[in-house]
Formats: sequence, structure tokens, C-alpha cells
Amino acid sequence: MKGKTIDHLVADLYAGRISRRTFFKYALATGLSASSIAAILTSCRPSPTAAPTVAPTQPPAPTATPEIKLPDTLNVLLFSHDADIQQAKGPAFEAKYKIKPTFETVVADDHRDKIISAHRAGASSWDTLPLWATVVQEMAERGWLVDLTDYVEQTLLKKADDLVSGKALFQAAAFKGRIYAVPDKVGGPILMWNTELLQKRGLDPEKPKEWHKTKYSINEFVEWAKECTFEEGGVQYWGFADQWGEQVAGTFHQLIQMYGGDSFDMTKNEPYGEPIMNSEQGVAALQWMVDLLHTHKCIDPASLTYDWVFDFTPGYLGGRVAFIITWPFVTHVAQDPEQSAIVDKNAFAPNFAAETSATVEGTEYQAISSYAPHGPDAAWLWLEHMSSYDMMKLQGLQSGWAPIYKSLLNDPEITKAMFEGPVIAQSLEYPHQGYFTPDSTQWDEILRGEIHAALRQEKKPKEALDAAVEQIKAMRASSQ
Amino acid sequence: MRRLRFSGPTWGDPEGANRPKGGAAGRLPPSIGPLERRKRRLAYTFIFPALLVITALYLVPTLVTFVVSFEPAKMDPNIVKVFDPANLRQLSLDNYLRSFQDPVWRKAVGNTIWYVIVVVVLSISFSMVTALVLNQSFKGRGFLRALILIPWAVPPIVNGTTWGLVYHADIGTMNGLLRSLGIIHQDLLWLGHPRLALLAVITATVWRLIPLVTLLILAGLQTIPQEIYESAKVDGANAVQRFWHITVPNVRMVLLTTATLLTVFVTKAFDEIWALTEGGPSYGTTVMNLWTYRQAFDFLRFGYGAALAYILMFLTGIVVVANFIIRRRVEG
Repeated sequence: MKGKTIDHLVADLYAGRISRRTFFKYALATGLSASSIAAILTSCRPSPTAAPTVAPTQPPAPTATPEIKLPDTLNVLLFSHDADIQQAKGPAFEAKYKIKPTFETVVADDHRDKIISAHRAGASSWDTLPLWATVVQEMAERGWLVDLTDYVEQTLLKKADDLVSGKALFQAAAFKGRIYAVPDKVGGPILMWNTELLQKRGLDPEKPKEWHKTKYSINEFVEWAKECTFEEGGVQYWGFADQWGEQVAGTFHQLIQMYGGDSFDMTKNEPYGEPIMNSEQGVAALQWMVDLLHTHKCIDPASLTYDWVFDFTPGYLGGRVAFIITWPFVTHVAQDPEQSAIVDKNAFAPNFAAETSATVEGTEYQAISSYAPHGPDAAWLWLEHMSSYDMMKLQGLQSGWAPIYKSLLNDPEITKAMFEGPVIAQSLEYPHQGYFTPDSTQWDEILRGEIHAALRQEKKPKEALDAAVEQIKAMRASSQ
Repeated sequence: MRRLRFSGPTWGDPEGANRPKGGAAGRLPPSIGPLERRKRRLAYTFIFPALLVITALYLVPTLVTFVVSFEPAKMDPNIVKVFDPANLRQLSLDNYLRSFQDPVWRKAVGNTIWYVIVVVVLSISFSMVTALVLNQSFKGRGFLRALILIPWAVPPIVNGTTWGLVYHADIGTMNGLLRSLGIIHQDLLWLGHPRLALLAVITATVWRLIPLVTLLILAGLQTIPQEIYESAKVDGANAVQRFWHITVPNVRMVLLTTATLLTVFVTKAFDEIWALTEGGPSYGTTVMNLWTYRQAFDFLRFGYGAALAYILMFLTGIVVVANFIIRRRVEG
């Protein structure tokens, strides 16, 4: 490509000798304006119905735009938990681009193994992949994902003002300043409570809605949780239950941010960050957890063994737990009479506050494999399509998975079905770092071990967090 | 009392006429005829497809994994490039040496040894009792023999998940049962403490292994002629004496083989532990195989994971060789 002029690139693109992505990359390098690139690329779309992502400034004559060769099919891997809604976006995609997407699903527990094994072997059966932020980092570091920065800047980031969290929505999908994935849903754990149980204990069920705006409402929360911990008729009621098993680091991240601290200083040692969770705020966060368990005794102690959402929600949905902090979709489960004894008794709001309210990033993404069997161009069309405003509206209307646009989360038509939408948007306005790095799984394991040692009172919070920082540094040193 | 061992005729060769006699008369002739050669060619032809599949699916990955075990951490992430000369130049023993400094690996070795000993001893003990019961004549014995196979028919991952529900701190049947019997008044966190969790995992594994071990021991018990027991009874031996002096000596080779098989199976344990605890809490149930997997597929340290897999294979190999030596001595 060296020495090529813009004219050569345009000619190559029209002749199908280079892909749209390659054209994009080199056109930017040669100084062609972004809008001109978009105009040229738009003219190469296979279907006349394809909507331009940005307004073309110099639309080329239709007769002079031979179509580039796109495949007939596309292999799309999806998480099983949201496969229905992603597949519902398929017919519109096929009609628009004449590319038939073939969907395959994978359960969340298996997905990382499946994807990592394939890419380790230097192959992928799928063009696009569903990913969590951790996996985005791991795969991007190993060169297994297509760099989408140029695409994203010209499309989604043009509408950044309407994106939940704005440009920061792509923070966890970025590795060394480049973007490798497109969000397909947003969310973070929020506070839920059983209004009937609160009333029964003489507490105002409307008050927790204001806690996120009230500094140190975390203390009032503890008092209320204590009040709701009691035994009646042989049934044990708990003020609070959470997943402090494998996911305990997530709870700690929320708390440390509530106290105004950070688990990692992400501005240092990029992209790994510097572990700083043994700060004053970190110790306060962990001490709060220890006190809840051992001093106030108002959290279900089995929380230590709860690894995922459906481990600890049975107690809540059964009406035996007053408060939980969990993923927003549980609001829908709580309204299902077949699964819940608290229909119409479940309220929710952003989490309570210490210095501030906080949550953790729970955004999920789709990305393009470096080994995409049909090439990255058609795969990008899918990502662009599935994240488009119309498809996100469909997602908001037909599923419990939150769209990535603020205006949709607050759209009255959508909030009729997705009543938790405004709370999700509100919740993500507070700190919500997930501290995703390429070695997240390793430091998460270390941090979890030390938090558990503190929760079992084998170590003091400060000792545990000092040990965690030391071990994380040692682990990183041994990985170099 | 003298130990009585049954050494009856071999099935299909009652007089032992076809047994190799040793010496020159027992050896194969030095040359083979054309018919034999044709038979051998045919045999190789039949074996070839299986050999090809085994080579492609087992030996090649084994070889690749061996090379990968010498990879440094920052190697090319694409395994296809592992044999590139540039990559081969970087190979070293670092991954093997690192295992000596890995505290979790050392803990995993300890957990594995403890786990294997307890599971093997408990499985054989319970199975021996079950086999002795099933070796008696009573109505419904056939049905009971079929019934006992059910836990073995359940895939290990399903077994682990099922036991996860049994141990669930809030809705688990174990706490419910113990509460209703008045044994506990507060729910126990079966999977919340490292030692209790290991005990829980051991129970789940033993539960699944009992049917297999029972069947193996039962097969051994059925080869012991009833006449020996009857003559021992006439000699005044009680049930315990008959068990120690007739049953055990006659099934000791079965027990030895079973113990070896179990040791190898259990050393490679993964599914139940993964489904129940994923190695936690605080590495309390992390065994060698689990840590190997986590290094390779959770932490993406493929080189170190491969090295641990080879160490595990080496240690399992020692058990197999030890069994071979012990068998030779026992048989001798």
C-alpha cells in the first residue's frame, strides 16, 4: 500500500481489490477527510437501501459505483441469554444487505473457553463474537480482534451525546487507546428491595429511592438491613443478600468507588493499571463488608457461597430478603408470578451512597474476530446494524436488555415494557469502573482470595488488601 | 488361620494345556509363513485407521503441548506458529521451574494427595460393603444391582451440579434434612469454608465412584468358590475371619487394580470440583488438574498450563509404575 495516492485507493476499492476496512485505514493515513471516506464507502454499499452512517458531502454518481463483493452469509455467535433479541435483528439485516446471518449461541459459562480455544488454534468459525469487557481486553492484547476504532469514530461516536455514559461507553472496549468492540447492551447492578417487608418492619419503602442522592445513606441502609433481619415462624429473614462468592470483587469495586477511591489507577502502567485498592477508601469498603457480616449480622452469611445471580435471588424472590444489589433484569423476574412471591412488591433505584453512589460496568459487546471466515466488512455491517438506533429500539421494546442510547432508555414507549430503563441510565451516571485489564482474571482471583480471608476474619482488611496489592504486582512481574 | 487362595483352572483352558511353558518349547518359531504374514498385513490394515485417528487427535496435540510447555509467557498466541524457528529459539525450562515457586500449585498438590487418598479409601470401603451385600442371595438382588449403577451413569458435571443444589446454603436439601432431624439449628455453609468444601467435594466424588468400584469388587467376589467359605465355616471361622482370611486375599488383585484405576481417575478429577466450587474457597478445593486448566484457559498462560499438565502426567505415571511393581511383587 505504500506510496498509493487517494485516487489509487478509491480505484482499488471500486475494483474490489481492497476491502472497505483496508480502504478506510489507508485513506485516513493519506489524509482524506472522514466525511469523504464515509461518502465513498457509502457508495460501495451493496444495497440501495443501505443508510449512510454520516451525511455524504460529495455523493458519487450511482453509475460509477460498482459494488464491492460481500459474502452471502455471516456467522454470528451470540450469548444464549440474549440470543432471542439479537436474532430478531436478523431479518432486517438480511433485507438490507442481502447477507444471511447464521446464528449460533453459547451459554455464558462456556463462551470464553470456546472462543479462546478457537483463537489459540488460529481459527474462528464465527465472524462476530459476543464478549465481556475482560475478554475484549484479553483478546485484543493477543491480536485476536479487529481494530474497530475508525469505524466506531465515524458511526457510533458521532452520536456520543446520546450514548449511555457518552464516549466512556467504549472505555472498557478499548485496549491501548484503540476500540475493539461495540456495546450491544448496557447495565450495572442496582439496588432492589421488598416494599412489603419494609412496611412490615415500619420502614418507608419509598425512601431508598433517594439514597443514591444522599451522602452516607450507606449507614441508613445498614440500620434498615438490621431491622429487617429477624426470625418469624421458623423462617429466617435477612436484611441483605449478595453474591460474595466468585463475584465478591465486583461488590468491592462498587464500594471502593462509593467511598471515593479506586481499585486500580488506570492512568498508570497502561493497559494494566496500578493496583491501589489498599487505600484508605479500600480499607473502609472492606471493613464495611466485614462489619455487615460479623458485627451487624444482617447479611445472609450464605452470600459467601453465592456465585451468581440465581444463587441468591431465590431468597429475595421468595420474600425472605429485604435488599439485594443485582443486575437490572431481575426486576422482570420479580414481576413473574411463576418465579416470584413479590410481584408488585419489588422497588429499585441506583445504589445507596457513601461519598457517592456507584456501580460496576456490566456492558456486553460484540466484536469481529481476526480470523472472521467471511472477512471483516460484512461483520462490521452486522455490528453497525445491531447497534443502530432502530435495532436498539426494537431491543428495548422486545426484551429486558437495555439499549445503549440514553434517549431510548427514557423513551416512554420503551419504558412501558422496560420500566427499569431510566434507573439504569441514572445508575451509570455515577462511577461505574469495572477495572478491566488483560489480566483481570488473574488479579480478580488474588483479590477475591484476600477479601475472603478478611471476611473469614483470618486477616484484617488492611492486611488483606496490602497482600492483594503485593501479590498482584508479583503476578505481573512473573508474567513479563 | 492359613490364608486360602483360589487358584482354579483358567476359563476355556481347564487343564492349562495352552499356557506358555517357558524355555525353548514355549517360544514362537523363528520364522513365519506366508499365511501368517498375510494375516499380519490384514491386521495392520485394520489397525491403521484407528492409529491415524489416535495420532492426529492424541499424539500430535501431546507433542505440541510438550513444546508449548517450554514457551515463555510472551510467546506468539497462535499455537500454529509454535514450531516457527524464532519461537523454538525462545524455549526454556522456566515454566517447570516456576511450578516450584507457585504457592497455589503446591497447595493443589497437597489437596490432590489428600483428595485422592480419602476418595480411594472411602470408595473402596463403601463399595466393598455394597458388593458383599449384593453378593448374597436375596429377592430383588438383580434390581438392586441395576439400581446402584445410576450414580455411575450420571455425567460428572451433572453430578457436581446436583450436589451443588444439595449443598446450597439457602435452598439445599442437606441443610433441610439436618434441620428437620434436629441435628443443626443454623444452616451450614457447606461450600463456604475450605475444609468443609473439600469434604463436600469428596462426598460427591465418592457417591459417583461407588457403583463402578462395587461392580469391580463384585466381579472379584463371584470368582471365589462357595466351597472355601463352607469349609472355613466347618473349621469354625466366624464371619470376620472369613472376610479377612478368604475374601480379602482372593480379591486383593482386584482391589489393587481398582485402587490404581481410582488413583489415576481421581488425580485427574475436574468436573465435580468445577461444578461445585471451581476450586474455592481460597483454593481449598483446587486440585492439580483444576489449577492446570485455570492457568491455560482462565489466565491464558498456555505455556505454564502445559508444563503443569506434563508434571501431572509424570506424577500419575509414577502411580501406574508403582502399581505395576507392587502387582509383580504380590503376584510373585
